[in-house]
Amino acid sequence: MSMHTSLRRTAATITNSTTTILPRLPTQPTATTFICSQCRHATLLRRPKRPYTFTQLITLSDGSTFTHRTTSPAPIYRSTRDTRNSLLWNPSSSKLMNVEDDEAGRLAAFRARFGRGYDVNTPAEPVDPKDAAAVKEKEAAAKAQADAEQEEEDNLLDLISSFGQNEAPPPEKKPFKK
Amino acid sequence: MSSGSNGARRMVSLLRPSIVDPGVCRSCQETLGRRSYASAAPAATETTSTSASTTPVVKPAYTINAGVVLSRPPQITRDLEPFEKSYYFYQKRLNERLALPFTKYFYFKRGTPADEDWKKKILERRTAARDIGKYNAYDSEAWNDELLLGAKESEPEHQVEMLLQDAESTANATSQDTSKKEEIPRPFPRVTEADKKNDQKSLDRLLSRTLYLLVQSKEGHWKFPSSPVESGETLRLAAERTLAQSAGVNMNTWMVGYHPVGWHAYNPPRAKSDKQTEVEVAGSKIFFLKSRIMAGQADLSVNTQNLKDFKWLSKEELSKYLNTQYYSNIKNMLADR
Amino acid sequence: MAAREPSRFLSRALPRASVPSIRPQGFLSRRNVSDEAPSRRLSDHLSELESASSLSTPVPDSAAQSFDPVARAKARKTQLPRGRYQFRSPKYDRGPLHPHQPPPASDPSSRLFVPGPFSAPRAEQTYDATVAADIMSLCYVHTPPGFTPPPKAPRLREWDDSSPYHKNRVLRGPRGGDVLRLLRKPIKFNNIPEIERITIHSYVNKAATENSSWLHVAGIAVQAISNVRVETFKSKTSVANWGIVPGRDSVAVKAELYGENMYHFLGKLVDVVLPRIKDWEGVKGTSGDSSGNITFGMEPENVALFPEIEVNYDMYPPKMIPGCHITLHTSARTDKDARLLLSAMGIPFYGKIVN
Repeated sequence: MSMHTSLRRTAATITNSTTTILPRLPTQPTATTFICSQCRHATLLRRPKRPYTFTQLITLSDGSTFTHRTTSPAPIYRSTRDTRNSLLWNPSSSKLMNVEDDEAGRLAAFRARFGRGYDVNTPAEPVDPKDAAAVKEKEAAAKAQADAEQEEEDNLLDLISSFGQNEAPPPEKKPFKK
Repeated sequence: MSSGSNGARRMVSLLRPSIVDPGVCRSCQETLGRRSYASAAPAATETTSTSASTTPVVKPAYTINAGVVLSRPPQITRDLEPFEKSYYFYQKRLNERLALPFTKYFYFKRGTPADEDWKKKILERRTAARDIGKYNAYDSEAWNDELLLGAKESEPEHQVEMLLQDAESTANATSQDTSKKEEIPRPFPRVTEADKKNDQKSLDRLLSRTLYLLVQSKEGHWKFPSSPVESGETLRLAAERTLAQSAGVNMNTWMVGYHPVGWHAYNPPRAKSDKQTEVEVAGSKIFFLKSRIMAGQADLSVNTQNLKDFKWLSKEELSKYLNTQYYSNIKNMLADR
Repeated sequence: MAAREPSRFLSRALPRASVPSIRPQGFLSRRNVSDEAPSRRLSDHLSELESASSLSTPVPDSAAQSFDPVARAKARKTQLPRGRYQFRSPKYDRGPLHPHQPPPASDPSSRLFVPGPFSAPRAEQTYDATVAADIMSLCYVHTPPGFTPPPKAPRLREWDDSSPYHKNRVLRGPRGGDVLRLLRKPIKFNNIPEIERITIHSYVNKAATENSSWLHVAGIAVQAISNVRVETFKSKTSVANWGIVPGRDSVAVKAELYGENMYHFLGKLVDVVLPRIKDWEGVKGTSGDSSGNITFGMEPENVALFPEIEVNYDMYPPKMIPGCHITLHTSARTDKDARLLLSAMGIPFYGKIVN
């Protein structure tokens, strides 16, 4: 008890000394540092709250597994898309690049039959897959068509306006004037 | 701009040959040359006076070699110590009674098959967690939280197996099709084929350790790939060339930084003198650069450095193959794991 | 000096083992902590320690078979009352002079005890085994012997004594802003950048404009993904168009992750969640507070990609899953070092890199 009163006294003397220098404002609380060498109040020791955690096994897409602690009750998590098969983490992997590889030639066959988006205005030919001659003819046509595409490539937008009409000669490029 | 200032620096260093200290390498001398002229001038006079008095004869020179410490980082997590396993297990059981209880109805709706299955399993294992064995932290026997001798519950493999069995039984219990048995593939083993056969040339061995590439010269001694630095070549370029010339180009490697991580000096029994330059060669110093292998495999068939064999070894195995002196110089730059 | 110098003739005449080499070989005789030499000196101390782990020492089978603690406890006729053998920590801390002292927080019987760790996280093992050593060799800067770094200007400016009032004034801050940036120390073995903590923060403005259920859902979602109970915060600033008054509305939740939770969260984030985000290019290169802490945001639909939220996605009210900001606090002093560390841990960066 004696310790406590002595502390109070020091606090009081500090405020008294400040009042001698500066007149205390009525609303301003006294700012004294209270040294808590003995606290009379009791502080509740709160138990820290932590959610329940399980051990979970994560299986990545390449079959590698690891365990981690999680709140989810599922025992295993199988991921289909992760760092092992994402292009951002494997920039040099050709397998993940969006390059269309046409090994079986099916894509080329489809294109030869139905054409691309921008050669709809070329007349379609009757295609008989059994007829070898027709296929050859078609190939020749595709070649010619490819040549035409080379010309057309820079003014693809014109196709929209000239859809269904006869092919108009591409407008000449005007040199820039200064 | 930068080349111009470099050129200027070189000119300055040429004009002031007096501060060249034989104990300081060329790039360091350039760095020292960057100091202000005022501070450099008195230092220059000091060094000339001391070097003149102490070394009356020309010191024999060392040949500088660049070495490569090519390593494969650990691929899997390490094996836990028995103490760690017991510690983690005990902490998990402590956590059972200290964490908030599992909120079942946030995850399983009442009356669903998943809920029924969960209830059945809780009766069986008496707790929500699957990897701590049969233990309920709230019943009268909660004090009995220590494992008996020979119990498997603290083994990580056993815990993973429990998880997988639980997932399988849940899948079987909740699916409509009772005839089909769900089989979940087990994780790959931590010990590979190469470990069993002790194939020291395989990169698949000792997955939880760092492996280092060691090559054997035609004379029969083992070392890290190394070769003399040619004139006009930086240490890093020399290291890259060494790697390509010794272990082939069929590797995707990454050199870690431009600085050596360690060095070794080789002093032959007697100093030889080089015939062309008439400079006495005291020995050779090898400066090791760190490198990581990402893909590929070493291939000595086209090497031009008189090598006949290679091995991928962990740190402990290195000490059996290397010369004691060599190993004591390099061991501190190798990773513990 | 000259007397110590061995003549070359002598060195050739004697066998190598007995002759000092031409260069002084200080490096060969250097002794390291990992050498066996100190252990030989301490051998008598070490002999007192048990060589084998107590977990691996053999126990006779008969003793192991007969040991059954539960049966022994049940066979006891009279049980001591609980208070005689079980210590319970006092509920209140009544100050240092009180006779009933609570045990320290590290004691399992303490009310403040937090168990753990429960596992060795994979991301932490990667950092320890691979990343830390690589960062140290990457960041090494060589200073030659005899090199003295050029003197730097003082960070705080002094007052020119043009006025008598300048006397004893505190120093001024740098020009162009009062912020003193952290000093970057050279990276050595003892200050390799590492991840110190991760903060997940979510500001839910609808918690103020509509009702508090938004805040509850945000808290539960952040707790689910982070394994940590969240704290809620009141707004500090007023936002007029949301009607947010400072100090009145609880609008934000935050979870701080340390240690094991942090590494598990980072591993999950990098390996499972980030690759599943559609059209995600990476963390912006301009992000960072220029003292080594990197922040990035996650949209609500990306937060829903976490496996913990996926497993019971239906339980969360629709549209209420919050977005969040994730701050990775590293011990690096600059953003450049922090990015080096984080990209080594698997976080991609894109765009203009600002350091």
